[in-house]
Amino acid sequence: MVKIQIFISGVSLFLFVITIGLIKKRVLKEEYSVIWIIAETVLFIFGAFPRILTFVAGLFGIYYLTAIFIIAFLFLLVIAFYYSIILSRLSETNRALVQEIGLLKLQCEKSAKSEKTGE
Amino acid sequence: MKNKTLVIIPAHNEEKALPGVIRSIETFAPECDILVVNDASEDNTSQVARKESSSSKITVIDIPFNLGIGGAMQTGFKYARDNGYEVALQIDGDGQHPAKFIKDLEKKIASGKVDMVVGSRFMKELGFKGLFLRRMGIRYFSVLIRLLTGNRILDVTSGFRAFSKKAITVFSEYYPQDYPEVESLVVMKKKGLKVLEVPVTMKRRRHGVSTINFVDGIYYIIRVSLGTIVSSIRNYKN
Repeated sequence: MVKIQIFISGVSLFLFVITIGLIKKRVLKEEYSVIWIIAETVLFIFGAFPRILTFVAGLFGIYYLTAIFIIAFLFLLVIAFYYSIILSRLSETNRALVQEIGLLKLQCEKSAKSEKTGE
Repeated sequence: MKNKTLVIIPAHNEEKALPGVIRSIETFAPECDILVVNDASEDNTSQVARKESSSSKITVIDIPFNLGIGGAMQTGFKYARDNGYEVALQIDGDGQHPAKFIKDLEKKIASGKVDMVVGSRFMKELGFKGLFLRRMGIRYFSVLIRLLTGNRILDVTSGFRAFSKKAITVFSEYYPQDYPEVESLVVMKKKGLKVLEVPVTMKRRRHGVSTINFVDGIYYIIRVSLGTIVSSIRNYKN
């Protein structure tokens, strides 16, 4: 195995474990993590079996990646991952808020009704 | 004075089927209170439900944004918890769950031996069982649940269920959001609560379409597997 292969497989495996851990802690919601699980699995496969990647690269006519491209890619990866976490948190608070509004609206209706009948 | 059982109907665009569902609940379970959780329907679900709610036994909650079945049900659990109900039932707004089985489910919870009862269409020969591919999917999740919890539940995706006070409290705090049926079985196990399956027959829905089509089916399987497996390794405080 070439160094870069070990690196890629290692990184994807590491990200996979992190993703599962974050779902477990409910920092990341499943609906935003399915795509990450798939991406990490594909990345791992490409890392472990580079022939598949060579084939795919040939298909698209890409033969090498520059270092700057990899760095930019990793940077975007971190940002996107971070956004997934923020989205998870937002949708969680949003859900609680929406439920609370529904329950409060009902209470308002009820008290309005009882005021009417009370008079 | 207060009824101790609440029938929760999560409803999203069910204006056609809802009146029939409500009436059949009133026929077969007249002493139960009914809560319609209108999950931001675009049709007249809310108005239709309110028209039926003159009897004061029916309450309607309008959620301002669509939360999906999990979020809608959790709203129902919170309402049941805050109003001190002993038993909560879940029945679909599309009419596929016959109300005549409500008593069967309720009785099991009232016995105090179990905390969740699942109405199963696979324990009887009769009734609508669903399409072949869907049945295969359900079997897969049934095996998964058996591996993760040790419970043998056949109809793991059934949304015809009854819940004890303990289960209501647990699910008010945490209920899986998008496709909650399968994962909620793991949550029950994690909380040390008992689940029982009882036979029911189901009808083919007369109005509306299934929420899951074939292409979505693949996503559903990955998504629910992920949620269910991770839930089984998650730490739940007791």
